[in-house]
Amino acid sequence: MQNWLAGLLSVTNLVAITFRRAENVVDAAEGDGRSFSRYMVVSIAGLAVIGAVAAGTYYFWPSDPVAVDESARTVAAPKTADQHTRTQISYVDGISLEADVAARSVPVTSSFRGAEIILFGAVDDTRYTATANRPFDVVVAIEGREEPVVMRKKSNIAGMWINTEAVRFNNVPSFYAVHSTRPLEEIAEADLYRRHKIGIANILGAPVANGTGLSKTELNGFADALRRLKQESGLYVEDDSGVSFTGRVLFRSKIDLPPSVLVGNLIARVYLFRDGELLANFTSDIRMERQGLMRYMHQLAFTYQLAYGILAVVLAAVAGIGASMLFRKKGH
Amino acid sequence: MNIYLPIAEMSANIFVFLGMGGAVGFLSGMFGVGGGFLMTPLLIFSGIPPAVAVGTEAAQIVASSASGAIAQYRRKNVDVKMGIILLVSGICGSMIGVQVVKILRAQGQFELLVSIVYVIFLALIGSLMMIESLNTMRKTKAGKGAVRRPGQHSWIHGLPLKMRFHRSKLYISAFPPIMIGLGVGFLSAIMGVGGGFIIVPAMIYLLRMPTSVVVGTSLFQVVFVTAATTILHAITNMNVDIVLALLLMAGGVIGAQFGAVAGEKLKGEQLRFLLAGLVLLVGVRMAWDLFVPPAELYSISSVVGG
Repeated sequence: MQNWLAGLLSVTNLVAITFRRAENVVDAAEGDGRSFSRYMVVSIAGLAVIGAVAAGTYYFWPSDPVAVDESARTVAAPKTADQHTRTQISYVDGISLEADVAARSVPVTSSFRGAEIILFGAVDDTRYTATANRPFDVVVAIEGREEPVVMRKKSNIAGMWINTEAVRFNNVPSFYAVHSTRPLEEIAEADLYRRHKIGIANILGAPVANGTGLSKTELNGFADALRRLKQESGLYVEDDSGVSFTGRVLFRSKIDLPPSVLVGNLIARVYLFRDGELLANFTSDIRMERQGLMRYMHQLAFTYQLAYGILAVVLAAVAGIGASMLFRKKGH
Repeated sequence: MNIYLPIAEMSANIFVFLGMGGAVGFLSGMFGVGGGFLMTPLLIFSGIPPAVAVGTEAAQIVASSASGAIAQYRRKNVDVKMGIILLVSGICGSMIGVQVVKILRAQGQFELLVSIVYVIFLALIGSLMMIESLNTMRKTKAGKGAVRRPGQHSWIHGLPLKMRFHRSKLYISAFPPIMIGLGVGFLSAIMGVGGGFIIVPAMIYLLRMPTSVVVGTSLFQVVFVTAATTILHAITNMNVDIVLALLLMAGGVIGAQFGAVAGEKLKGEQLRFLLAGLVLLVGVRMAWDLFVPPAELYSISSVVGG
């Protein structure tokens, strides 16, 4: 017991001595007339503290319970034009579909303000007879990069509104535009759309509830809210007359890509219908990637996080010190 | 004029964010608060994803508070020693806070409890400050003049490890500042805010430091706290948008210089009155979020920082 007390005392003593010494250093710096040395002391102390904190937190900070989905956040490997995938499936013999986009890649540069995707194509109908055939219907869907999303819902607890429930959706397209020649419900049965995952109503997978069990209707409420919020922010778009036919077999569609679309490859899907029957579909991907400085910055942020963080702080410090130097000159 | 933000992944108007940075920087330079409580909602309102708003705003506050701190330092308004003590104990406090949050999150309605306590706390501090500063102003008007009460002896003066704080004209034990630093660090970890608007009243009323020195000292420690926060965000969440931060910084550092000048022109009690208003404003905003039925019950958040 005695030893323990003595040990504690000596430790306190040591702390006190260190304290005094540090105090003297700071006092000397403050008493000193030269402002440069003060800055030195402040900045050295500051750097030491930042270093210690950064190192300490790097090791001791609790890892986030919901881990970052690396695959979704990392930059997709650039594809060359040869790897451009285009697939065509015919469900009916003799009828096929060819389509392409005007620009196969959307560059994201520092002046990116959204883009316009022109999609065009033609129907190849070998069984064409001038009398018997009704016009074709085309549905075009452009889908953006998928990401996991957490939906939260507030509820009232004793008069206060607070987030209580959370539901997670995996693979939510960040962007979805569906254009068609007529309203979707006039073209085919709802069941067909559900099977082929066409339309805003059919693109979300089943949600994963976090925590307590929620009923089916509650889960549907979350999915509806997600679709509604995405539509309100212009990321989920439906256009009944977005596809127009030129003549009998040529069609085209113009899709506006808003600037808030997450960067990642897009998938364009074209579906050919007639008399409520799906005849053929066509899939093509559209590259969307960062270019130039945007690309380097994004790579830096996601591969060398510590360096990026330090860079941000250094830039901030330089900006702060620079401004105050500028203003001092003005003042004198 | 628009520019694309690489991490926020959206296109933004340059001038909107320059102005935003300037306004928050001004408050920061004047009151010694970081301004995150204003900046984060502003950024989210203008369409920046919440996670990116939180990370980026930390980087911006480093710049504006560094700018403000140097401006204050030049006016001999920074108590470096006090600042370092508050800083180191604040960091310890927030490390404890983070662990406590982790334990208590599992218990359910913990966040609700913290929000209520915080609102009450802010309302209390804000109104007490406002009353005090109004009383002082009235006395000054009556001609009595504000009297500093340095010679009060209480149990606080009996504590060991006494230190001399030249700038603050104080000779007190190091324990009260350490306790305050721990408390504020703890609170800011729980609430996810910088805590400038708590540490400033604490320095004025608990440590009895002169108001002018309080602002500079608070800015001094805000620089380091937010620098650590920025690096932390960059490492764990990858949500610091350097382009957006630069825009905000450019406005912020200039705003902070003007803020420091404006603060210098005000009397201590006037500054305290305005700060009380600011603290009340924060309290009202938090209460608003808590009590007013939201127009939209649902909210989307990306998984990062969930």
